[in-house]
Amino acid sequence: MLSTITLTINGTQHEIAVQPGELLRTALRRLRIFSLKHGDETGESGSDAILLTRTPDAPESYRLVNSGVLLASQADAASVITLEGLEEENEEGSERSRTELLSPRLSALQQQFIECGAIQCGYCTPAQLLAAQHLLDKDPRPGEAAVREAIAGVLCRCTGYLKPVQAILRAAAQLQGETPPAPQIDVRDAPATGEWPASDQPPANGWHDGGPDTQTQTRIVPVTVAPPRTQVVNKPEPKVDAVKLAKGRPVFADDVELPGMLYAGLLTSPVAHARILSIDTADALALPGVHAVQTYADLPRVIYASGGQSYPQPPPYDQVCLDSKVRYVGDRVATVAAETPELVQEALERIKVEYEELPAIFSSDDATRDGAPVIHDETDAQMIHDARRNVAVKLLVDHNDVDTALESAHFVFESEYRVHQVQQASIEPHIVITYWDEDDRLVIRTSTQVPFHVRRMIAPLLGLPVRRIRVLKPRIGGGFGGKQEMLIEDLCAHLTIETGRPVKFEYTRQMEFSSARTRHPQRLRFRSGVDAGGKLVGMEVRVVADTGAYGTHGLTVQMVTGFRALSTYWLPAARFDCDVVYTNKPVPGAFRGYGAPQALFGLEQHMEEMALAFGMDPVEFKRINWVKEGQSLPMAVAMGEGREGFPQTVESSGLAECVEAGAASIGWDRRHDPVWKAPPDRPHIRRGIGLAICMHGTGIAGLDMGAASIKLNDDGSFNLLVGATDLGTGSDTVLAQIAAEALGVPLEQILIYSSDTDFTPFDTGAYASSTTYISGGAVLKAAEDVSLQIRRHAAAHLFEGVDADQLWLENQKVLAPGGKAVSLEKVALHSIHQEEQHQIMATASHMSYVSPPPFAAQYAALEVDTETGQVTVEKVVMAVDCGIAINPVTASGQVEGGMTQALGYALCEEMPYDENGRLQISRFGDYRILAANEIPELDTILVQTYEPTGPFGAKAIAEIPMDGMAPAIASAIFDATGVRIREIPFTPERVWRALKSEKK
Amino acid sequence: MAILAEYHRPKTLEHALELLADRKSKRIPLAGGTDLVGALETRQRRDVDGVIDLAGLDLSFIQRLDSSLHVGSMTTLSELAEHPVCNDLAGGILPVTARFEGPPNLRNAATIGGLVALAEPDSELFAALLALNASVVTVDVDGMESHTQLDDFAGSSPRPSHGRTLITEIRLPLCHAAAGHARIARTPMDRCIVAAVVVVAGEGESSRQKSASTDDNFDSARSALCGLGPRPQLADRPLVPRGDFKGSAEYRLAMAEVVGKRALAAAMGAHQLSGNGSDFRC
Repeated sequence: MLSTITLTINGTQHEIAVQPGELLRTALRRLRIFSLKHGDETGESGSDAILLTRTPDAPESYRLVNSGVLLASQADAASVITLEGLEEENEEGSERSRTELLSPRLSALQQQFIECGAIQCGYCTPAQLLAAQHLLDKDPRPGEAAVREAIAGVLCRCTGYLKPVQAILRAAAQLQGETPPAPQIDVRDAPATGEWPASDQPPANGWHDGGPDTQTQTRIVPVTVAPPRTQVVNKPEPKVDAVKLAKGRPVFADDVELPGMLYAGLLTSPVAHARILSIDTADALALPGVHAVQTYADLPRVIYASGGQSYPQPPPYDQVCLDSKVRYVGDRVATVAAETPELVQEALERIKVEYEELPAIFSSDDATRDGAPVIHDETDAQMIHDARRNVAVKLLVDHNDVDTALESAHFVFESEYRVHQVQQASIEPHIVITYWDEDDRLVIRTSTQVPFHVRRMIAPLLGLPVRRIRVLKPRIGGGFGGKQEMLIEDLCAHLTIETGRPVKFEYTRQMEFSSARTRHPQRLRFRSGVDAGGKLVGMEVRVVADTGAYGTHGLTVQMVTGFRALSTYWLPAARFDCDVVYTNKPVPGAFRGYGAPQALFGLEQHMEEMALAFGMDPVEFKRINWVKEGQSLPMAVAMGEGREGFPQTVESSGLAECVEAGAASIGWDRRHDPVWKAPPDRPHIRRGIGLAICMHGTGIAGLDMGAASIKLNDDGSFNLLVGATDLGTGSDTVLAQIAAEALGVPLEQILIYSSDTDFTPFDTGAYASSTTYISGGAVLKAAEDVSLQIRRHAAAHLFEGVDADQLWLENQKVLAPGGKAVSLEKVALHSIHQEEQHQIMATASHMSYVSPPPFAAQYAALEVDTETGQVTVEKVVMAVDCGIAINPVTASGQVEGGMTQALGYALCEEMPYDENGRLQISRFGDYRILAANEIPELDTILVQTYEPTGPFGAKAIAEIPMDGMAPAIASAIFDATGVRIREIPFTPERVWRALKSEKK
Repeated sequence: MAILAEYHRPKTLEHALELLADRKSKRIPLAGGTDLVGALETRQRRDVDGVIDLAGLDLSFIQRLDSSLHVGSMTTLSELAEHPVCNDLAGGILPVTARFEGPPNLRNAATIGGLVALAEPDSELFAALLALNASVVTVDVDGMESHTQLDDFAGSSPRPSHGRTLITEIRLPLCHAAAGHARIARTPMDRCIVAAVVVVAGEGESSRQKSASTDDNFDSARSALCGLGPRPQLADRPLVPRGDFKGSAEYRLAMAEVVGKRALAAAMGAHQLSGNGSDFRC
């Protein structure tokens, strides 16, 4: 029953008709207040925060509250302020004034958020800004603790909060009339090492370099040269999308309203393993306003794999849109499309399903046991390694003879580790809107990392040719791999096909946990041997990985596990033996790091344990064994990533410098200070410091391809079209910087757009740390092509007797020797309108047969409460060699956010199940994402090397921050207590039990 | 999605109680909504047809009367934590523990009445109220006001079939006291696995002090625990811990002793440091 409430929104009074159960958030969004975001249903995300008061005459009475846990009716007669209300020049409601449209004005907070790089995906930014504004209104000179407390209720999965906190403090200073200095990023160039020393010579850099074979060969490696004379690259340019995100503009998938749009919902399985005997949808369909209910009986049965990966999809193919069997609690059963979300819910609750429950498997250890229930017993699944034993994928890769190598080793060590299941947990849930356009083409507006893969993969499921499908990727509210999957687009599209109506489908937070993707849990067993000098002679890694109910990324993630485990240290012989098994649990997939964090947790502890058992300093042991410049990566050839591998040689590495810089920052010497380690006034506290080194990849060699188009406009600006997808990482900015540098223009002259499968060229999408390197390579090529065309046209028509090769672009001009210059605008106008008219534009593609590794050292300093097992991390440091940082601000933001996610992986994030396979968490809070007021000190150091194969010397940075934090914390706990814990997360009880058992 | 047929915002307590007593519809009280609205939205609660919003009942107040503090049930946790008297009471144990109920945007909406009604097992503020010997004032459909010690108050997540009374006030004795608090959690601001609050009566006070509303005695050290059983409890009650993914029953039981000792030591330390506890006289 509708009632009418009166609500003053940003100073304007509104009469709004609302249902009794309608949320204030949805009521406000109906009024186009799009800065409020849906992050969850229980208030913990805080992305729906507003300022609210019932006594607007008292401005101090406004309070920050979550509009998603307030009924709209509760706000009757109240006054609310949203981010839109902070626009000083608003004239009416949320409409922007002419002045604002022509020249957007920014508040001090917005300016500082942009300048500090405090905005990544931007989904939580409006709420953070509102919380910050409210703080500054009350306390114009807050301290850092007050700032952290003020934004503690707005979860951010991207930034690690450091830059938002800096931005708020700086805005406060600015508002007090101060001029804060430019934000500092610690960027240093690794020292040039010149020729590689022979193994019997003292190392040039003071480290004891070592390693077999290729290391002893003299070689010349171009290292450590920051790009000379760059104007845009390697500069802390503000993000190109920052203004619209800082203003909370409608840029996300959900921020549109289509006439006649229906809402979709998904009925999920309440049981872990069952056949569906019957589904009765009659009651649901009988509800007025329900337009479609779909079950397995309604959809064509087309086998597919949902992982967003290049053609052909890596096996196994073990999914269909809707099946007659369910394989985990949360699996798909039926969908509904109806006029309102409430009707959708009612319809879902009216569907009657009769299940024949089957025995289920919840542990990878049980999956392959004799007599275990078979999870994929369907006859039409394809390329499952051994369905009867629940083995989705089997990997067995050898490099040389590891058995012989270990037999002949001076010392052999074996150890085992376990890593658990966690979730990407982007604050924006999965969301898609599908509709038919005026040409009867299906448009899919979706929050995806892989728009081109989605288009290709969904076509056969819908029975439509690719040409009739258009995928639009708006801004994405975080992905972290979770959106490298065609997860819900097919279900929504089927409903649009049946109803002919636009349909919106968005996961709830509970469904995100139960029915989206996660990180693969693994059991990893390492066996390694060394010679008498401590050099590794061989390593074998056996992994049993749990891929849940479906294979999706099971093959490729585990390939990366093997590659990282067996390439970070140089190995004459290696073996990777891996079973990827099915269980009746929610499905793992891609998650930032993609198998590397699992590998590194085991590897780094194994190396440390082995060193101690061998009688060597662990850091020294790692140092003599880690892979170095000029060395090959033999497992790259042996493994590839699910297909053919290609030879790789390390061309750049600043790892030694990273270890050194990180040690200084963390205070490594404190490990030898007994008073620091065991503070006398706190007898139950022990402190420790740990180190892990990491090596990652930069794209998938021989596979990833990105393309870019650049077009010159009349005024000398350029349109840059890319298929790459910026998840909030800043890749649009980085790609635009590369184009700007190559075209001699400031960043604002590059108008980047991504991505739309109709208009932008192909890109594999945002994964595998590939965008800067692969897509950036394409941008650079296209820019160089456009530059050549500009110079040729100018040489032919605007410069007399000058060859195009003698011209260059700089400062928005074409310059010639002797000082003659013509503006790009003049070249553009001339080439388009006056003579030899043509459009100067170019499209280029880029792929690479090499994947240059970034390197890093990650440190953690912490204290362990020996009575309770509680671990409190004091400081974490990451010194990282990402080649040349195209944008040091966005690069350091990636590190801070990644380290914070990695802390969660190590300490508190987990997906616990009951004995029936039901998740025991369904909300943020229980699934603990670190908040702003509990983050340890973060220090990021960018140690620059020059990667000769990368655009302007760049390598990747997005994923490597995930890799080393858990082993660094394990190492620090060991340093503090002498107790080795080989399983994460380090929850208080796990640590307590380990300490107890050690005492025994 | 929340499926509700009714929303009511009565202006008088009598009307609210009438609505509550009317069994034709399954109605429950709505305080701040931070728990209930989410539970409705996620369909965790499907037993509700309508809500009775208590916001119009003038139950948001904090008053010092004689030797006790009267806190209206619709007072938000932020209002409670920011009140000067609460900042002084037992060394500010209320604001300290309120922080662990959630971040500011939740504390700005969540109410003390809702917190008491829910009695969540890991509520440290509830434990603090127990240690401070709080009592609960309720009014039933006949207008009868009742005072119950919080420890004896059988509040739990309201059910439509239970709804014949409303919490109107929480009362706290303003005693000369110091407090200590200790907790274990996965992260510094996570809800606790186990926590303890101890309140020690101040110097010059009798170790037997009156509570705000009854003649019950207030021991010199009053200790409360949360994270052990289905709701926070006084430490001298039988401990029957329940385990979950954050901590097993065995762990929680072992930790109860640790945090209990630490909280007591902190309270005694605070007591000695201040010399006279907080500045109240009963």
